Amino acid sequence: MKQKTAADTALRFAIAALLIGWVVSMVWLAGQPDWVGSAATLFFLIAMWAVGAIIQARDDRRLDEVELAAVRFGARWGLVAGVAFMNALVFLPPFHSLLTEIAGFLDRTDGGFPRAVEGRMFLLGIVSTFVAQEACRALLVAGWKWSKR
Amino acid sequence: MKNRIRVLRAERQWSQAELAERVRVSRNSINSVENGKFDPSLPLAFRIADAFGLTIEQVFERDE
Repeated sequence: MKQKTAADTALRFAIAALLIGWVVSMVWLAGQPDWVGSAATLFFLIAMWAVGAIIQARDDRRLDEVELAAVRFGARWGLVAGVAFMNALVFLPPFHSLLTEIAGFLDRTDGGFPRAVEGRMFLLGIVSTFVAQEACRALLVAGWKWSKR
Repeated sequence: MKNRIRVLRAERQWSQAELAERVRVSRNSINSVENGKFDPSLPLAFRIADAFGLTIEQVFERDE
């Protein structure tokens, strides 16, 4: 991969700054109506997504063909491996218990947005699948690169 | 695809990193091509050959 420039470093700092900005805004807007906090969260989410997309596009332009081949391999098989991994986890009771505990911990009925535990478990399941796919993709990319040493 | 990259580098006392910089790819990529673990595209093969001042056929050999 070609060298990163100062702009690339600045973009990465921007992501961190946006995250800190979000946390500060949540504290600053604590006494405001709920929609204000939601709007601020949405703003920071979109900003972080946009900066992340720019970072990804700039990184992709610097990849050489061997690195691109590794990324393609990971993208193609990461989904398959991640879904297979999650399907295997689904049959493990400890994983169900973990999701239930996390969903129960997040249960807020005194203010916030109260949601059924089942709904949060569903969301956590989706998030877990995404995390598993990304982890498998990263592992496969690293494995492919290692096999080409 | 076999190649003579290691020999050609040694003749010029170039490290993999130096060749990678001349060819505008990463050192790992040069390592993969040099070890025959990855077949380069035509443009990359041409850039490698140009870096050595040779033709593609003088750098790369077809597998029999």
